[in-house]
Amino acid sequence: MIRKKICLLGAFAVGKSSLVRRFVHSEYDDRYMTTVGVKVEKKECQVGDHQVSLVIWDLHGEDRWQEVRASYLRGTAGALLVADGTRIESLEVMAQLRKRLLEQNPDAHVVTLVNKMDREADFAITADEWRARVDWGPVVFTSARTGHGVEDAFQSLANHW
Amino acid sequence: MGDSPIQPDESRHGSEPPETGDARKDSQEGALNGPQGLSENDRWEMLHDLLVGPEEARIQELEQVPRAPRAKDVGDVLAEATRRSAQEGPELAEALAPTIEQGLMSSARKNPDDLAEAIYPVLGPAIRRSIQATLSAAVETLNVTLENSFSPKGLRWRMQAWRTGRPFAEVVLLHSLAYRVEQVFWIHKETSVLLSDVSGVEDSLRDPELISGMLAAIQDFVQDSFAGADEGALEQIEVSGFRVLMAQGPKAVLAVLVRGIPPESLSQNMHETLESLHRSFADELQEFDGDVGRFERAIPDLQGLLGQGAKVSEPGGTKKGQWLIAAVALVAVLLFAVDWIQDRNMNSKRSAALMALQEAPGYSVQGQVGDGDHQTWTGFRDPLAEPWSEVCAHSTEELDVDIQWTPFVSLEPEMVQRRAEYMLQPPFGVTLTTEHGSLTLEGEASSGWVHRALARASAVPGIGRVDASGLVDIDRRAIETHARSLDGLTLPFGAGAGRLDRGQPVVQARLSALKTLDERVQEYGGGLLRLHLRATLGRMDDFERGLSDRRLVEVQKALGRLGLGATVVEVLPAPESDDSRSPLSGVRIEIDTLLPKP
Ligand SMILES: Nc1nc2c(ncn2[C@@H]2O[C@H](COP(=O)(O)OP(=O)(O)O)[C@@H](O)[C@H]2O)c(=O)[nH]1
Ligand SMILES: [Mg+2]
Repeated sequence: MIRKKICLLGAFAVGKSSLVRRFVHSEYDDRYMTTVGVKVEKKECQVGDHQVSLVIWDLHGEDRWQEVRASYLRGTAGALLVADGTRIESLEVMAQLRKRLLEQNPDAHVVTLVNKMDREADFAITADEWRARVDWGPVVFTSARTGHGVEDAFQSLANHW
Repeated sequence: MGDSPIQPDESRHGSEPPETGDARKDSQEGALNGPQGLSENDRWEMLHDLLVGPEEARIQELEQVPRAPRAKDVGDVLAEATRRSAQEGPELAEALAPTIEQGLMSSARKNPDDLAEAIYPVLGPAIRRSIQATLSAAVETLNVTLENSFSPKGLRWRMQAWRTGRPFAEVVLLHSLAYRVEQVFWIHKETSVLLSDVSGVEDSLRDPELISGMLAAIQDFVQDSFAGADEGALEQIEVSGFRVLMAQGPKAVLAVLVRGIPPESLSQNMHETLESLHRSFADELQEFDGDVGRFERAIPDLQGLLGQGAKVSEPGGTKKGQWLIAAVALVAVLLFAVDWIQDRNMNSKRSAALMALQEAPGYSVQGQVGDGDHQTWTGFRDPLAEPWSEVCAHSTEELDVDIQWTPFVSLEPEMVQRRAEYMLQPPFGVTLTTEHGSLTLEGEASSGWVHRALARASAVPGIGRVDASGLVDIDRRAIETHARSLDGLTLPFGAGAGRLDRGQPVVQARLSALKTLDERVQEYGGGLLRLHLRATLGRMDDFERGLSDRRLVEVQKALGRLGLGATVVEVLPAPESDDSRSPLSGVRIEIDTLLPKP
């Protein structure tokens, strides 16, 4: 069994916590996480013939004013970078967080998500433009609301191990 | 856009309190409303000073530049400029961040207490409030419980309270104090990934991976907030009625979840275990890549930390002791209190029931699944164990648990004793004791019981040795006594007579006594009566010597007519010498009883 710490990185309200909730469906009591500012969840993925257990760290609650702390990234084997398709500024935040992650953790794997695909009509730029603007790799379009692409996103991260 | 700004220099973040890197918090309403509940700006005054300090330094720098604006001018516009800049984008925050951080860092280095203090007022009152609330709730519930406890145990404790002049509640707490290490987690320090874990109680509600993640996050929070490096590492925290003890190593952390109050030695053991794990897994820890299968070998070491502790010993009489007890009792009340808030009544009842079952002979709870509402407990129950109602104060309905017992044979000493009594059914007059695998029977019993008991005793599970040396078989004793009383009897013949007069009362009586003895031996089962016949001669009747053979035949015939089922008859030659002359002339019978040994 492989266990990996992963985290979610992205601007405020892009849907990080919603994505985790959608993926994990965990009922775990999060009282302590509120104090600590991080919520830890877990999900097991099947990769080929083995199990990968993802220990998912998500900044809890309103992370608007929360700093992404070094300890949050420390030991992280991979991350989901999340942007909100309707907010172009979330792209820049995502790019900077990615840089920061790779500085601290050069071997980390990332999967890039553009979320809120259910509101594609309201997208700031078209899906193709999103693809073009994300210059470090492929993009997975997701919707935490409908569940579209969510499994795929997490799974493609787990596939690295 | 209000997203967290990106800090260019992350090497410093490890020692920053949350949020302090955000320069806009001074200027924006609600800037301190983080999830930590840091809503009271005034509490951050000290921190504010730390933030503004470096700005002033920067202003002084500007002043030294030729033709630079005067400090006053800058000061007048700085606040407004900052506010506007923050609305437009993160540039100013980014520009200021390194300086602010530096100021903060050096300030924190000079006087780390300032930081701790700045955060403390926010945490302090919340903690105090919750303790107060839980304390009063616990005392109330405790009182109710106490008032209603009239079990024999409760009465005994009442007596003790009365004798020692100590509050009853205190006595109860003393008797109830115990600890149990329920789970052990071995966590990789860098990645906070759970390497291996063991559990003493099955509990699907507590996922070890989540718990270890949570512990790591708490640990990070404390270290980030209060100090750098390892200095601030937590050794102990309390979470929902549990204590978590942690031992820090260079590569890994050991955490144990304890219910109750653990002894000092537990933490010692943890450090020793952790050191030895670091030695045994040096390479694996160094190369750790998420493959936790390589750490399964550690399970026995981790299991070494599981277990539970005895109750705190009986209270002593000294003043100092009393204070100590009062202190311990207070801690216990606090523990109870935390328990209560978290688990409410139901869970405490359930834990009490689990504890009781754990202690009750013949019960072993193996699994506990379900949620706060309804649970299913599985385990083993010896059919001879006390019924549930004797063990637990609450019925399964009250606890809302389904119980699935698998019957088993317990080898706990109480159960061995009980099983031996059940299987052997000792009659009145026999005492049965079991100790260390041996069974001792003492007293008197019928041969039937003795035979059955001895056949069964060594088949009692948990019994390897049977000592029946003190056990008397009363039937055997009776036969032996009876035989002894008849041994050497003579069947008399009239002077010169060759025929046995079976009508003579003494002959009749003696023959029927022999018949009875034979019957008793038959009843005993497998026994044998051996009769040795010898002719005896009266003093005067020399001529009777010639009658001896005839008389022996007569007696043999008479015995034959009795139909003795367990008897063999042997004829001994008549003695030659005169010494053997007896007052009676006839045939003397000596008796041997051969009874089988059980
Ligand atoms: N329409 C839509 N709304 C979403 C989606 N994901 C999240 N949201 C909404 O976006 C807001 C922020 O979500 P949250 O998960 O808290 O974002 P976080 O701050 O990144 O953790 C919430 O109101 C969500 O309901 C999505 O896929 N589609
Ligand atoms: Mg969130």
